Amino acid sequence: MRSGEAIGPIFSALADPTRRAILAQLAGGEATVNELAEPLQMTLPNVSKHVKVLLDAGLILQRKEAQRRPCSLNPEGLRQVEAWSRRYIDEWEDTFQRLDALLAEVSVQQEGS
Amino acid sequence: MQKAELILVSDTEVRIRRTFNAPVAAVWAAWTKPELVMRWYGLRSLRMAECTINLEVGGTWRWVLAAPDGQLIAFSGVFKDIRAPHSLTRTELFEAMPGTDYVVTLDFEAVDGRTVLTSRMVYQSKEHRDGHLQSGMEAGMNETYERMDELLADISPSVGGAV
Repeated sequence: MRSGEAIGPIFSALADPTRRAILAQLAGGEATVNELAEPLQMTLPNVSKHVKVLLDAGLILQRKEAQRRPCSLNPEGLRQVEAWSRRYIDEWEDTFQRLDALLAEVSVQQEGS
Repeated sequence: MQKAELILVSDTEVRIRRTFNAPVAAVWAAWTKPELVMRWYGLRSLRMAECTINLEVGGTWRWVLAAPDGQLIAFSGVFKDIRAPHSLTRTELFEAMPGTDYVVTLDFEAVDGRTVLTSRMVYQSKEHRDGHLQSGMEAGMNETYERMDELLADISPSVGGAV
């Protein structure tokens, strides 16, 4: 399925709690790998590895400044996640609405009988 | 109208909650009588092709969905606990992915003549969830959902609205 293929790397990236913590931190504003490493209490190479996975998945961006390379959330990647989740929920909702219709029908029959 | 609500409980548990404008007995029947399930269960363009429910502890169930091209997608499992009409626990397996069963408990709660249905889904492991994820929407929807919900809860202030 098309959406499954496109979204695969994104969900693999999201599967890891450390990477989710990085995203949560970046929600507060951009940060360098150094700044990300501090609250995580992890080594820099370790954090860099996670940052690379997030970059490859398109969930974050990294720009170059003089001495810094700050990371930030990638709104486009996050929009994809949100759109996908909305589709998923809408599907459940479609199913539930058919159940609504059935329940309405069943209770009318009960009242009539 | 009320929409389905997602609740993240833990890394391995997700809940979906939805209120139905019908008494508990009716909602219970809609989930446990094959002739009723056939009339509403489905997913997108998939519609019910077959529905078997042996409603007893240790009894099996199997729901089969058919795609427009005729492809069959089957879910099945075993009933673990039945407290009619209040709660129902069953294992659930997407048959294309053997060994990845998860446990679903449905709670039917009467509130002002309506029914609050809570579906609690508990998965075995992260590996199974990841396997489901890679195989696309039908297979992976439940755990995908969990991961996304968690992420969106974390970051929603910055993207302006969650699920």
